[in-house]
Amino acid sequence: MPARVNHIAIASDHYAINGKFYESLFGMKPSSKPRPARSVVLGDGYVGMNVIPRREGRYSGLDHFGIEVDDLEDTIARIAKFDPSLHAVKRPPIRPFAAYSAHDPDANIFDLSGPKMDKKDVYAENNWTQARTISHIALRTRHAERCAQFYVEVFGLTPLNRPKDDNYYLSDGRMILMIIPWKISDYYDQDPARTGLDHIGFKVESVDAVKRDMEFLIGENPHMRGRALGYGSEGEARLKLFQKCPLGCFHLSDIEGVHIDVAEGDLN
Amino acid sequence: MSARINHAAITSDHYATNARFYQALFGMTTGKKSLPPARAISIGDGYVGMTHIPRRDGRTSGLDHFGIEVDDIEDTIARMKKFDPELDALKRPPIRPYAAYSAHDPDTNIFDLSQRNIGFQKDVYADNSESDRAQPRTISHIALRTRNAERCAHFYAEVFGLPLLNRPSDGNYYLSDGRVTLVVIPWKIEDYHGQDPARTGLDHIGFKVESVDQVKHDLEFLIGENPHMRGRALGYGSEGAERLKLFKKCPLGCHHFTDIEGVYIDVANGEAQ
Repeated sequence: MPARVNHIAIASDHYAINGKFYESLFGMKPSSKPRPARSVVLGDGYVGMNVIPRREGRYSGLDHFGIEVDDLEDTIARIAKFDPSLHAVKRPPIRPFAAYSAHDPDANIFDLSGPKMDKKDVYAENNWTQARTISHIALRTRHAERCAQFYVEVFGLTPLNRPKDDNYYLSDGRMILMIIPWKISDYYDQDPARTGLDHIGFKVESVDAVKRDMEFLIGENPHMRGRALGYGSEGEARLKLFQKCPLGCFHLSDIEGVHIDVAEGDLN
Repeated sequence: MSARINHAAITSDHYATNARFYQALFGMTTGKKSLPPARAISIGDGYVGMTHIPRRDGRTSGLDHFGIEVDDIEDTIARMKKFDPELDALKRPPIRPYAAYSAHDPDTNIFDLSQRNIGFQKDVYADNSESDRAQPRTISHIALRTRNAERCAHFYAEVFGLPLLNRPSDGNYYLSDGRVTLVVIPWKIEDYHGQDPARTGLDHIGFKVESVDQVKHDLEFLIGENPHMRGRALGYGSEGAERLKLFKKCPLGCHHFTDIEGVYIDVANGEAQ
């Protein structure tokens, strides 16, 4: 039951340029068979990222993540065993990653994919190595402990033995799913953020090189500038909360405003 | 204990244009003493205030939260704790035009809490509480799609004294403050076959209007005057058709469109209740 946390989706009005941002700064590769009217699909050799044009009535930002498993039916049975009120829905066959969508006990949505299914896009090709790769996905949710138990029991993710900070760090051997307890009391001096995906992190060969590359990119193309972090008392409070994640040491956002932290070396 | 559901907040990269959209189409107005221009834009319909917030880093855009005005905040927080001791409220910085506290329901849906007639409210919220101005197009309902809908409906009924309306059973819960209805819709992932599942949270807002046909005419006119007034396309492609079908299940609206940000809006003639 070796599950792989290997899909992330961002919904954005600026989806095309946001895809270019990840390509430019982190060297993610686009699909060799793009479908220009649909999402931009990129990969880092392990994790696939879909940058989805935001549809009407939907929120923008980090939208959902995805887990690849050996046996979909067995996984759905394990979900139902963990909590019979949890359900999964089969997805239309056009999706490059998802065979099903499901949710955890706090209604955080994730996609499910099986390794033997007919994958498309970058998900069929994701097998190369590169210097900058996604290292963690952070989920901020109210019942963090129960959600962590869910991902451990259903997917066999391994809880990492890290210094105690109330977060749960679950590893698939390469990627970490970090589960942070959501507390409204964390939001004094800023607007409370809803529960859900919080940020993504990258492992890089050099944080300084990322900083230099970012400056160069903005010089080449002003549209590559992410959102300003840390300005004003509320911006400072948002950044301070974001910086509590111990897996990153440099903090930025993409074009959409999604929080990204980066660090050097292996986090597992 | 007469609570008023009288605040909705939308976060958007296009917050200024979006506020203009509601002003132009629904006749909502800004306050007499607006907050500084770099901050959010608040507009009102005489009862509900709508704040258009510039989207900040790390945050999602769209319908963000709603707000409830009460007679006594301390008493309300005590009632929340009595309902579920794990529920918490957070005092807000005084610059906010509406919120004295932010809190959440059992499914972690965030709402603001405000108290009337203590000189706290600013901008359009101060004007709304003074005037109860009547206008032909007003917000009639706010729809919340959440997993434990029954428990959340009980929460709003017990804590805020919002009566449950006696409507034909469709699985939804309709709670009224006498003017605005809070529709609590059960979120089920099975509802999303043929489309991407949407996360739980605020789903749409509805307006009561003097004439749906007139709203349609006005919208066409506005787009002719200003192409930036066009909302998002609804119902296109198989997935768009599925999204629209689900949206249309709300029985309180009969014409469906979006604002500039993409927030779902439905409108109906006359009283929503």
